[in-house]
Amino acid sequence: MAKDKILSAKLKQQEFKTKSTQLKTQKIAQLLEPQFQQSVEIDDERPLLKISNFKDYLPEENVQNIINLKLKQGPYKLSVTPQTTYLAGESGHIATFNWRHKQLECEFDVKEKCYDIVSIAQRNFAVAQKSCIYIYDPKGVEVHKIRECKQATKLEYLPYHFLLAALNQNGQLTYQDITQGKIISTYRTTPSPLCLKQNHNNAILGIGDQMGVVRMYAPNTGTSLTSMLCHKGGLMSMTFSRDGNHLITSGSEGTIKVWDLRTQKLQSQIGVNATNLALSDKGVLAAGRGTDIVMWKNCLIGDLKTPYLRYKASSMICDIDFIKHEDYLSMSTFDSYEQTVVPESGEPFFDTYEQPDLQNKKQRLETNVKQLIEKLPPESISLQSYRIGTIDRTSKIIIEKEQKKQIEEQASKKIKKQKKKMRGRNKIGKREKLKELERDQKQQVKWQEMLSDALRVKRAEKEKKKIETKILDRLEQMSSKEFIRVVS
Amino acid sequence: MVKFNTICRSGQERSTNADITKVYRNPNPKVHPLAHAREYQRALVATKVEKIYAQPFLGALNGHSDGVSCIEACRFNLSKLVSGSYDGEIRIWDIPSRRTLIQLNAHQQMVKGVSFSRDGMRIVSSGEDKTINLYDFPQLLEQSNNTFQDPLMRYLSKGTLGNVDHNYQLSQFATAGQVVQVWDYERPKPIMKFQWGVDSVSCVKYSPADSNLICGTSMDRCVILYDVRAESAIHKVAMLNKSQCLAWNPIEPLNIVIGNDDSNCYTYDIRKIELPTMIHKDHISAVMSVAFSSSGREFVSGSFDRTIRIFPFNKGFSREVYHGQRMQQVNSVSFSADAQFVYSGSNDMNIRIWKVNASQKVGIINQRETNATNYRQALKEKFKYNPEIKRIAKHRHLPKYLMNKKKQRQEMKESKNRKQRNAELNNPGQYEAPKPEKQQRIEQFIQ
Repeated sequence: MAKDKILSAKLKQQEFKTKSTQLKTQKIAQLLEPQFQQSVEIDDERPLLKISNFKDYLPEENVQNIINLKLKQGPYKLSVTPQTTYLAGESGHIATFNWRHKQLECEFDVKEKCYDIVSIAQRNFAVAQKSCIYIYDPKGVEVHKIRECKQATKLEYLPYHFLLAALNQNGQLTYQDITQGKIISTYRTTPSPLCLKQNHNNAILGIGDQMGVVRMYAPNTGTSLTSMLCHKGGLMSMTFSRDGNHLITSGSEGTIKVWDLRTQKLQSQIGVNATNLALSDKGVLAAGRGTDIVMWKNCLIGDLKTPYLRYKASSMICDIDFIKHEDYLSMSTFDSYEQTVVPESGEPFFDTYEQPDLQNKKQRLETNVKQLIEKLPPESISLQSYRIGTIDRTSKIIIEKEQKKQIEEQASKKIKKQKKKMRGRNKIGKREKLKELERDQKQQVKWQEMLSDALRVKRAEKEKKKIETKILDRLEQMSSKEFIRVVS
Repeated sequence: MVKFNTICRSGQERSTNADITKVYRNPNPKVHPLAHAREYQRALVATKVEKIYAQPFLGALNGHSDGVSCIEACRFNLSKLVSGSYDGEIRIWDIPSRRTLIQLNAHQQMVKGVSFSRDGMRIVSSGEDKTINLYDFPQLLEQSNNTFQDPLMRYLSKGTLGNVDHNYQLSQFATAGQVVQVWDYERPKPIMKFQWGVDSVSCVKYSPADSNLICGTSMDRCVILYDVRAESAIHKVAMLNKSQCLAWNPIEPLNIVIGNDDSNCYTYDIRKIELPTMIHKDHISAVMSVAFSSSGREFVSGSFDRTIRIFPFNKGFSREVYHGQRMQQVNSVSFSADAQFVYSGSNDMNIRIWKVNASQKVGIINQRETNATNYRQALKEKFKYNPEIKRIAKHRHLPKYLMNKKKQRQEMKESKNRKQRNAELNNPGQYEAPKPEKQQRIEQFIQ
């Protein structure tokens, strides 16, 4: 009893401590919030709809980052970080450049079709090409060639687990560890996948398919963790909110739906057709179709009735993405790369230890090492990531069962090898005899299995015959009755 | 009027290289994805890293030509250590340079006890040849090459002697032996004698708070408390086995720790000496020597089973165990005055220096490193009940003979408990409930 009292008192103390420190840090953070934002005032009463309305009033830095780059070779796939953009053209043109300092980092031609591009570990980037997946240096030098994932069309990178996930057109999903080069798991997901997106809060992958179903996957389990029927048509695209509580999907029947992931229920919807979706830090949703992009503010809290901004790109849009911690929306089209300002879409107050892209060189070198040391094991990925480190509240019986299973598995794995002794009891002749005995035993087991199989087949046949005879009897009876009726 | 904010990061970069780089923190959990998993991983890595950097052995002081019987670290000066050996030799060491400052052939037979005076200027030593030597440290340093130096004073005792302990305040010291004797510097004969029963007392220690209280452990398995002002003993308690050593808690001077021959250490409150307040169980053989740290939170015990263990003052099991391949039976242990190092003198003629916190870095640590270590410590504290982390943190490598002995003891204990339980279940009413273990160890309390 005394021990419980002490323990409960300690736990209470700890709870109180954590709560009070949370409140304190929030207060201090509010006081010490750095001024990264500039406020802009416009005399107009109309709501902001087009960037031309307020472009003149924007501070110079934002105007400088409005980019419109003309590119030549085919529709481009996009991946953006707070420092660089990665572009992969369908005909093989790959380019990376720092959009902040307007510097080209690398540009080269691969001469085969590229399906997707994603940045890995803040330095390298992976391109899913027709033959296989290649990983390149920041300078464009080919570093790795991943042959195991065949004809991958979609790539996703889980940063804290160092896992590269590749999805095939047939639905084969492969998880590969970047640090070791090992394939963690591969399995079939759906036969007709349309889009792949990562829930950054959970490290869970969501795959949408032609049937309008979204399924969630983790590297441990070969089957989906949950699935939601979202749309009547196929799922064109989807995004997760950054706290992992909301999912926004767009279907080919022309609706965009906002789902609450904790209850898996529909929150709001709007009848707008969209082929590309992107969600910013603060909840600004951008939906692109054709050359138009429509943006809504507060889509997670409020409804999607009045749009916030509209944008018209110069050609058909392939990929759109908001830049983290910035107020820019970047998009890659058939023949250009464009960037526009979307005010109040990014989170201005970043955390230096979370954003290696916004650190200076020395800090980044440190984080490289620290991230590797703190690499999370892929077995820890689950839907409820907050449960790690908390008390396991499953019943004792289930825990004991699992432990027994584990012990049995380990015992079965250990195959005891006979020690090789040259002198004494364990001579060579005796060892050979023992080996023969083992072989005989194995054969016996095999024969027994075969016999039992044969027996099973026989029994099945017997039962079949029985059933057949029964049916035949009944038919005879029936036919005889009818005959009687007919006759009479 | 339409008002909105846009993000401008132009003022973020520092203007000159001499400026510090600013670090921005946002405590909003939305900015920290997978926070729980990452924190758990960091705690796991912290415990593993602690095990990697756990190198407690710092060095050895060698020079004695026979087993070391007693050592004491100076409370005043961090670099001095005095040790006595079985062949009557006393050495005073300079620990940072690991060399002997002064070497003395003090006694004809074994040195039973050495003690520094509080200011580190005087050294008292008692030998099996019934003599007590008092040395003056500055005088010794002048003639450091003469090993046959005469002591400042030499006292002769009528009966055999045990260990010696110097008074904290006055120029007096107490010796154990056939009778407990209190000596003054100026008198050739003891100013006070205590005797209760016929058995000799093996160890005496002055109380750090009140220099009128002396506690001793005697050969008739007793722990006795003496009062100098009343010139008599107060009370004693008899146990099942005899105790070899004694230490007072310097911060809570009403508590003493004794090391017993049944391989346990017992903490007693001297006001209520009939029952021990705590039993510290982890050793396998007799505990030869106990010493408290100056923080009063930990004590170290050296035992006959060739290990030393560090116990927290209020827990029943040891926090840390140190053993060496070549370290034989540990005769005496001592804490350094700053509670960072432990010294152990053993039968293999060496005095070994160990760190108290095995993975702590020795030397100057800069601010960033201390911040990182504090963070890691907080993480380990938070996750210390987690089974995976607990398993890693608790793991200590023990030599084979210790592991086997430990397992044997565990088996014996379990079988005893099992038999008792079975007997109680199957013969209801016949068997009494066993006494609590603390009571089991006490035989008698005498006023």
